[in-house]
Amino acid sequence: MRIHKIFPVIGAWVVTLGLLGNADLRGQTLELQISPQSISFPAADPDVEPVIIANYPIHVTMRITGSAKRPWLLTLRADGDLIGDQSGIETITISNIDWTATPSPPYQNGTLVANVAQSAAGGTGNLNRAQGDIVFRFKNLWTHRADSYSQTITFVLSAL
Amino acid sequence: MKHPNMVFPLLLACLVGVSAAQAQTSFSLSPVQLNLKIAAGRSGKGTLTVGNDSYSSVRVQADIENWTIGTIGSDMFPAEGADGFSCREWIQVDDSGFLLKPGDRREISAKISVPSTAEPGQYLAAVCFKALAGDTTRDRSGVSIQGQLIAVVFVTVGNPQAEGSVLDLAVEKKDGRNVFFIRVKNSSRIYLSLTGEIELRNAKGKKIFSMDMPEEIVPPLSEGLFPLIVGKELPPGKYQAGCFLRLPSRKVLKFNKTIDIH
Repeated sequence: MRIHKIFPVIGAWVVTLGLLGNADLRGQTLELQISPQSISFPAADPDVEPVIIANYPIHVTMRITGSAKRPWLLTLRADGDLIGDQSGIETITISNIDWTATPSPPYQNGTLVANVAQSAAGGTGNLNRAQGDIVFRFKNLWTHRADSYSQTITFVLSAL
Repeated sequence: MKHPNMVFPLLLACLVGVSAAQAQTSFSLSPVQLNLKIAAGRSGKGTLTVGNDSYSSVRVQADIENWTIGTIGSDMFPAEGADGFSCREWIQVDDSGFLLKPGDRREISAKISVPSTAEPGQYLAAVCFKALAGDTTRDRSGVSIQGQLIAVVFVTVGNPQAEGSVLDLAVEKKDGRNVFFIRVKNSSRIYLSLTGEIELRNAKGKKIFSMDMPEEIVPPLSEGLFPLIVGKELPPGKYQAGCFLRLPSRKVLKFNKTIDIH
């Protein structure tokens, strides 16, 4: 009787290797380091500064171990459009922010899209402290309403 | 004349706290994939370890989310029924929010309960660990930057078999380089993991070029389109192109076609 009770539990814990490849991923580790935790774009006259560079570049370090030849991906996802802090309803399309990334590869340039992850780096295999700088740039237009705006950008690191 | 309200169209606050601006997020996750075989009506469990490698505390939030491979409409084309392979609702973690002090590690247990009605197949979701700034009282103006690490969870129910085929092999010139496009159809209910190679043979049957395809994954009941950028110049002409993709079961998917290199 006891054997019958034990078997289903053991069966459920068995890790299946091979359906998605031959690599044992139990030892695989992702490490992500990001600095700083916030940036801002200083106010400027669009005629003088049609593109505003963020006050800090984002310094990223990725480390992937135990990955063999498996693919990995770093994406940037904005949680929505820029939202006016005072009005609470004014928005600026987040796609007015793009970024340049170095070194390339593995980092790549891109443009933010609300709630849609955009690829910022990718490759296969292990990474030993792949450092990069991402510089955000804001398209400064007269059509943007005066306000202070905020939003969150998430750097998402995944591997298969 | 410019509207007075628009003189300084963007006043993204520069008042963000200095500590937040200078702070660093540094955290880790292991393993990054749970691959479980669980019978319908049964449950399984996996353990994930999150570490804080920074000099300040990190607040970590764990969420279970749907997860997809590839970009739908760009390199991945799901067929009808392909959206039913999520196991998001089956996963529970024992701690969805916690504070990690510098140097700390936390083991998180993920319990996966497969409904008795689940059909054989391979299901996917993700446990997403988001690192929030330790200081949550700072001014929220400006753009906050967060990090997130993903542990993908594959749950195999029953004993589904891998089935697929190569639909096409084409070559295009992009930015002065030849790019091969391999289109693969996954007609099974599991994720197809493929590696392989392409080759070109001339009119005499002599192999003049070959190239490995790195591992690619095609979700269940979907088609995948995979580009292979050729690193060297190929001499123009008509060739017999071959594509050989291996499944983990060692079965090989073959495709041959005559192509023109311009």
